[in-house]
Amino acid sequence: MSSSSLPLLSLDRLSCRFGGLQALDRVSFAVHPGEIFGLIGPNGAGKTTLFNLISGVTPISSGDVCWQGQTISALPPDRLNRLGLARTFQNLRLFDRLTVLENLLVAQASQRRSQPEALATAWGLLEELALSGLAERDAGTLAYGDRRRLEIARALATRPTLLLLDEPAAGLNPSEKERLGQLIAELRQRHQLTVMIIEHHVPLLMGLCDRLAVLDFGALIALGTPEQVRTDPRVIAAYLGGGQ
Amino acid sequence: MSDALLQSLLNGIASGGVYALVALGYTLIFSVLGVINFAQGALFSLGGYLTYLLMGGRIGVNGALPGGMLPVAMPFWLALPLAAVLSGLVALVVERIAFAPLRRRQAEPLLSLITSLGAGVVLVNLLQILMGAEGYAFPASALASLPVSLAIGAARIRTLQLLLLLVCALAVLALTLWLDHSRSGRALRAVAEDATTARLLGINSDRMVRLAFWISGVLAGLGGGLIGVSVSLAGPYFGMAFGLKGLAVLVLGGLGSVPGAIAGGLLMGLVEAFVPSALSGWRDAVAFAILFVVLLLRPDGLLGRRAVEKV
Amino acid sequence: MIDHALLVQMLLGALLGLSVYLPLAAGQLSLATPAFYAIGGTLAALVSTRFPQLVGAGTGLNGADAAAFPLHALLLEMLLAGLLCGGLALALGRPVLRLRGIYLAIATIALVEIVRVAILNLPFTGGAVGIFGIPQVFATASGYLLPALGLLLLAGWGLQHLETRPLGLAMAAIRDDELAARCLGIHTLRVKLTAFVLSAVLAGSTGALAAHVFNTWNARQGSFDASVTTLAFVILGGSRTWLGPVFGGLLLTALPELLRPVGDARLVLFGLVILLGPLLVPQGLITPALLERIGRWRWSTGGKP
Repeated sequence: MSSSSLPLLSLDRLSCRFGGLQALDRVSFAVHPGEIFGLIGPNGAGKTTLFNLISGVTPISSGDVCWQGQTISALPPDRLNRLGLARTFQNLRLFDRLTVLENLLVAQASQRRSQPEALATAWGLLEELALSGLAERDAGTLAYGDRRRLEIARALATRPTLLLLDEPAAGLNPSEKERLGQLIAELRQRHQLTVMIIEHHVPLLMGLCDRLAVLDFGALIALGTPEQVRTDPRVIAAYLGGGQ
Repeated sequence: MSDALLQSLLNGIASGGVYALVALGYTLIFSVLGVINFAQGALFSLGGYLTYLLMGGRIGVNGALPGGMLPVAMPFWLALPLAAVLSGLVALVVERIAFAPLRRRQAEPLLSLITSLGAGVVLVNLLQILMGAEGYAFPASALASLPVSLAIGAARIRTLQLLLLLVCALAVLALTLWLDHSRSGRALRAVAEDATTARLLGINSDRMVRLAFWISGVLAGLGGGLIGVSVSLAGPYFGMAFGLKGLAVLVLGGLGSVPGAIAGGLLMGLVEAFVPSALSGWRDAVAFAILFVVLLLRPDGLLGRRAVEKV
Repeated sequence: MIDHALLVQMLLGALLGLSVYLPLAAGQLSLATPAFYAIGGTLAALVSTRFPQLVGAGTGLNGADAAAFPLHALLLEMLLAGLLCGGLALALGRPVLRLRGIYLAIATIALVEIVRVAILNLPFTGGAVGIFGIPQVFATASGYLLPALGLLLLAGWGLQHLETRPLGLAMAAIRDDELAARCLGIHTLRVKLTAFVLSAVLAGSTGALAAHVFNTWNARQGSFDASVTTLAFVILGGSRTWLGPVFGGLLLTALPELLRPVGDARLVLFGLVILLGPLLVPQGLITPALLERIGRWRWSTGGKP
């Protein structure tokens, strides 16, 4: 397929400043359709800021974000989502007062889907993420691990092409982390997804990702397969020097 | 400068000063608690009525004690600060009843809009029961020792106007000096900046909240007394109009900004003073029209800081 | 103690409560309801006293049968008032709804004040006295029960329907977390605008009806006091289900009248209710949990053979 050579998402010298702080400094890379792309780096490296820029939550200071070759830098989050870009949040932003099922229906509210179709999609996702027993519970009352999965399900309900996961394994125990890794790999297959994932637990990414990018102090310091990144001297220096 | 122009200018600065007092009261409370105290207008009324009573004013025929009066008759310069201090104490009661319980259970800040207005309604209607709904004018002898007007260059200025201006300026000066240079003023600003950190540094934030309420009550009371003596007490509800204008000034200057409240007050007073007399009926809408336009152009007020949502 | 005239006023209160509830259900604290209420009432007062032929009421009103203003003309006025207020809200909403939290509240208070001063000063709205002699549709107050109840049922039906629809869900989501809602593709400004416009339509129609009920209309109908009183309907009644503001509006409109025997102290008591209500029942009187309990009780008693 020739279209697979066109990147799904490409960043061109993307920068973000908050006052005097350079949170991201001319970051460029491309994400290709179907890959699982990991984003790692020490705390404060700018990983979440990068997600915020891509998803339209934070304005871009300079540089460009392109979606299938078209610039999307100035678009608001809702337009980006309707283009096919969905995200989760590091600090979980569920609609706590809505039920689990309603959380998934809201995610389809902007799309022209009939009620039965939306319900079918919602129940399918609940089944897939092992949440169907909790459908009528208020999201605010769920256990932590269930909340993490619900946020992924909610993002999937918008039927994205690209899914941005911000530390989906944070706060999970080792066996839950492992299961989550498998789940993400399966979801990519079943939903024909491209996935970008931020994660602190590097072993999880090593097994899961096709490629990894490493950020340090807002700059891209390495990009490549897990094997390449693991042995990159700059990455080792960043992690050791960063006191990790 | 022509007489009329100077007069308008002074009128504007004088009423602007009163607006600034009210807005400063709002802004102090907003900066430490992030809420608006809708009882501010009622405290303004209270200050006016207390000044009147302390000066030996009589209760009218519709009051609960027709013809009654306090057994004191203070001069204005003593009655005004005392009335202001008493209004400050009532503000503390309002804080205790309408704000503290909500804060303790971390309820929605929205609720305090309602409770504080409830407190205001109670206050104003208690005033109405005690004093009747009619207006009161201060006796002409209130400032007997002062001449009615003074000559400045070619223009003659009402003494009351100058007095009002002077008191407002002093109050604003004292407040800014206190905020910038005193120990408790700095502590209050620390709480406004970041309550959690301030608490870790050993600052008692509850005490600072009470202090902010007390000062805002004093400022409202001062404003009420000043307007009372220079214009009149136009019924127990008269402070509500000033409370609302102060709200417009507050937003105009940016919530939580002290210089903004002062600048916004003066701006509002001046603009109102220059509304042509043929359109004087519209004067009360000017403040809100300005506010409306400013909000649409600059959603955080003229001197406000933009709030950034943390993701 | 509750006569028909008071009952009509209570229904009007419930309608205004719903008008404040609508934007709040989408997380927007708008206090603009009295502005639209005042505009709707002024429109009805002007049309029925000066241009009755516009709504098909004939021109014979200055004659002997001044009391007979046809029902269809009233309904048409309510519709026109709703359209006018909805249009205004649509034009104002886009800039105004960019404001958040307390800023939105204060901007809408400013709107109420501007409308109040305008009605007080415009050459054709009767100044401080207002417009009086607004023709009556019914011979007695009880006649107005029908249109008031009809409008309330219509609004309630719509809101009940909304709860399970995409629009209603989107409103609830914005109230919970606006940013998350945007990231899920929800056009948040459009949703908020829809709620704001519906709120204005409801307030405008209610105002048109109220002008006939009260027989006179002046600037005092829409004031800052009304902003907060109508907000109190929602807060005290409960802001998590539409039945809350209905209940709050009925109760708090009746309260000052029921307190009339205590004389001058009644407004002090009313103030105390507003002051203490949120402290005693922070969720409001009608909560979803309460409705669920009632529902289960009905089901368990009614469902058994």
